[in-house]
Amino acid sequence: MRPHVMSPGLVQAERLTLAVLLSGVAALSFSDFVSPFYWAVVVVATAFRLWRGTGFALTEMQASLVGWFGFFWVGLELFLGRAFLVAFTDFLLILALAVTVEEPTPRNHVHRLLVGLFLILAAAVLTDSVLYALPLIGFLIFAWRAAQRLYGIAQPGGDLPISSWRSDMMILLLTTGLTAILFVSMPRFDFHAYLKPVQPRMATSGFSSRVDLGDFARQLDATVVMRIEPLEGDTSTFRRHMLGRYWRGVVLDRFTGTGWRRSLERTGRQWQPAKAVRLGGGESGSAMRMAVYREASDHAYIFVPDGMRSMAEAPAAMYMNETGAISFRRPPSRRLRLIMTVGGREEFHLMLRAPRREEMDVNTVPAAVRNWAEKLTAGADGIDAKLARLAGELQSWTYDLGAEINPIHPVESFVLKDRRGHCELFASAMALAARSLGVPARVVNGYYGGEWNAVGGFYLIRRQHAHSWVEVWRNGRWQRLDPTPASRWALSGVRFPALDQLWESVRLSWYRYVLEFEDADRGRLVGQLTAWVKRYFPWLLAGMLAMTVAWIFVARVWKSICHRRPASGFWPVLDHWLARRGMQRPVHQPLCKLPPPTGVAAEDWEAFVCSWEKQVYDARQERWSRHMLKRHLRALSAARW
Amino acid sequence: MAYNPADLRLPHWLLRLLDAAVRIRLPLAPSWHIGFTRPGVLFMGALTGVWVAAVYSGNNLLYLCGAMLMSLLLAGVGTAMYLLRSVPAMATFMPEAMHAGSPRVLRESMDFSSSFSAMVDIAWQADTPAEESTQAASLRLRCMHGEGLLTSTLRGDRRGVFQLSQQILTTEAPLGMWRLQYERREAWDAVVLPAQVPWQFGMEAGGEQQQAVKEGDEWRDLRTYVPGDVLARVHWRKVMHGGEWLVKRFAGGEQEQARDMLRVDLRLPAGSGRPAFERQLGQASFWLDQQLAAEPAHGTLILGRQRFDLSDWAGRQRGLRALAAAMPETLPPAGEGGMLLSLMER
Repeated sequence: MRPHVMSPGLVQAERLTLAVLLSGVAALSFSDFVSPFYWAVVVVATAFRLWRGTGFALTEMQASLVGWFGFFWVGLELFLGRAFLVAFTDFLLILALAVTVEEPTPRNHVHRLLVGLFLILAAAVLTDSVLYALPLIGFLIFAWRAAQRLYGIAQPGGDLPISSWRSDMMILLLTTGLTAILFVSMPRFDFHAYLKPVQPRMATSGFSSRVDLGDFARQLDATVVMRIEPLEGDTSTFRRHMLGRYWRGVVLDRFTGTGWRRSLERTGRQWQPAKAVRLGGGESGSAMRMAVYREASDHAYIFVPDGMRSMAEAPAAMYMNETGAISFRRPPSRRLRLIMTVGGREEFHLMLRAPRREEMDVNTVPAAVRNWAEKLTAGADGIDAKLARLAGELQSWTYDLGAEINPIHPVESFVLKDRRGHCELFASAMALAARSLGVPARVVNGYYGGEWNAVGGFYLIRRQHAHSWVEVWRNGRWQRLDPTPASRWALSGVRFPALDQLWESVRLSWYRYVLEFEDADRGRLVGQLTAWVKRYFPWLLAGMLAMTVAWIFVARVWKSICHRRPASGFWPVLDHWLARRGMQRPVHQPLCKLPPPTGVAAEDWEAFVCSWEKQVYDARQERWSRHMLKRHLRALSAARW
Repeated sequence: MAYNPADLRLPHWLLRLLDAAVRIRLPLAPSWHIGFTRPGVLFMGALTGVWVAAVYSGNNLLYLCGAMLMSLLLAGVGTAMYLLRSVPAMATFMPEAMHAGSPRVLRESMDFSSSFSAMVDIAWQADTPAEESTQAASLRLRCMHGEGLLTSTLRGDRRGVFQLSQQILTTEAPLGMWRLQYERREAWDAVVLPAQVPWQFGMEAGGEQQQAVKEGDEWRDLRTYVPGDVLARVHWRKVMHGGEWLVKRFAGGEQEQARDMLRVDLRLPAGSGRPAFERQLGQASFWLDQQLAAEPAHGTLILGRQRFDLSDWAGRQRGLRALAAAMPETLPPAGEGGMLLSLMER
């Protein structure tokens, strides 16, 4: 059977190739296509392997059987209806498991490096998380060290030692800098979109052409759905410009008693991919260009802010219906970057289609709501005054996300009994009441406002900014009415606002400078870097000086610690291990004078003693840690393959 | 190296293809060439694939992976270049001379400025192809922890002075994925002396010397003590008075003086073949070796009309070269006395 005790070089190679593999697994684990169970199994197996050493290993044949099992298992998963991409990642992780527990032959090391690289590449397509950068850096440094280690093994004259961590940290800095330079300088082409990063975080958002009242309330958490950053002008101007905008999404016109439906609309304008989208509107007045990062979602709607004039290019085929709602033909399952030009908020670009029958339908208005509206508006002079009175009344009620919703008569219950609820109920009550007064009305679902991120200078729109309001047909045009109490906007689901702002700023930087980096961004990035360096030059200088001082200090302290450490400080561990095998080593007796302990082959014992003495007496050898000595002893005990 | 695509049980044709790729040498810069090892070919294949996928898709994360792998390649190549540039000049570590047909084992330590470990193969050869075919030196430098260990087994097939001036340094360090080759100019004259032919030339003189000491002959003069001198010859009285260690030289050393001079007659009589001439040079080589082994080296070599003082470094070097390159002459050897090696009948 196979050997025996691994040389220190192979022990080190074992840990490094496992680290490369784990970097790949970690990168893939950020993808939503990966089942946590599968990567957790690989992580546990790796931990167990590191703990037990080669005592926990399968032969090549057994490991290949694990790989084949994975192949057939994934086939079964596909047969049972599992998504192809999820089954694919399952297979990759089963393969990673097989090479993790395989015996540490040179071939196994190559397997681990290749599988680790493949996992990293697969993760580049299957995730777009900013956390992907961490395993990528891990892969870089561990692959460097592992390749060094494997190169140095079995050279003429014995194994070559690996370079120190300090040298490799310099290499890491160098390669990171080179990576950044290469990444920025390489030209971009866009022949195809099949390998674009996908982001399948498509939890139900509540935006749909069929909405039941209460759908929104279940989704109003702090998850970010859009980030909006300026592409020109200063951030304070941008902040003022975009403050308190409504982002129009789906327009619903047919009330079902428990929710709203969108009637079939004729398609108005259509745009092919990569074509500019022009909505018209005021050509004069202030307008700003901005980038909207839209997270992948399960719906096809594009949220259009008040005053939007144009979009630089359509990322996919899009159309606008007669209500002015814009949506994709097929919603892309990835993050999108939309370049919009937005004018003043007073510019309201809606198609001036006259109200349809569904928008005037009073038959669907519950009698209770009709009575409530009539009673409330009695004595008011004119339709506008009646509408204002209705809105004022609703705004005086209580906004409560946790309010119970009557599943059978939600609006009646809200108007007559509860008088508390969320924006959908307020908007529904207002729209139905307006219809009962003979005013065509419809409900619009979208977002309102947003949260200003002072660190990065951009707006965030979270799920909790989702909103419903009403559009009424007055004076030959559709006008917005928002009956929701203002207290609705005091709610916040963010626990650590300062940290959250920092984190969101990092994420936006990742999207902007990595995921969505284009040729056009290169010049802008260089300009920004130059400005940044000029601005923070004194701080940069101080930081570099502080780092140099810290480096020198740490190096000296570390050296003194290393020198204080006794070269043979682990004798008690060794003596304990020998005692368990019935051997008593007299003090000061070198290991080479001892016979091989029971159950240990003579050549294994000799190799171990040689390695032990080298690390004790040879100053050039790396000192073992206590953990490493235990690994060697375990391997010695288990060397009966 | 512990990793090899052959371990992956690749098909034979693919391995042949890999080997064909391994043989390719690409110019990197003046005096620099790069080639790839088998794992390096796989690495380059992966790198190319990643870039193709990145350019095809516009996926910036693939661009990032490609940039990372490329930077790994650049950092590795840069490190290897630094390693090769750090290899010190080799001539100072080379032996003064070798003997034809006898391997000479070289094992020298040196300081090495890089902290990376590496094996560097050094091929030292002549500029001209004719000389290249006769003599070249292959050395191996093992670098680790800022130290270098130079090892080689040098062998000269025939005597002569061979001017080696072109050095090709090759390494696969630090990652074992590419083979970097650096050509540099460094001159070294490989002096290959004739194969030694042992002969008796000193036993009688030595015996007389011992006897003279025993008989208490008067010493002629004093010289500085060198390790290895017979302790009985040390002038102990001077030592006890705090002076430096001096060794007595006796008048009876005339025999020794004669033994310290060798005159080699380079005339080749008619009828004598070249082997006899080479044998005579081999005897001279043997004598020279004995003289150089002494501490300090001393003696005089007269080779035809040329005279070389072996106690002087420059003279010794000239003597070695002259002996290695000796050709038959027509004139008798210069000088008188000492021992004479000659093929001529007396």
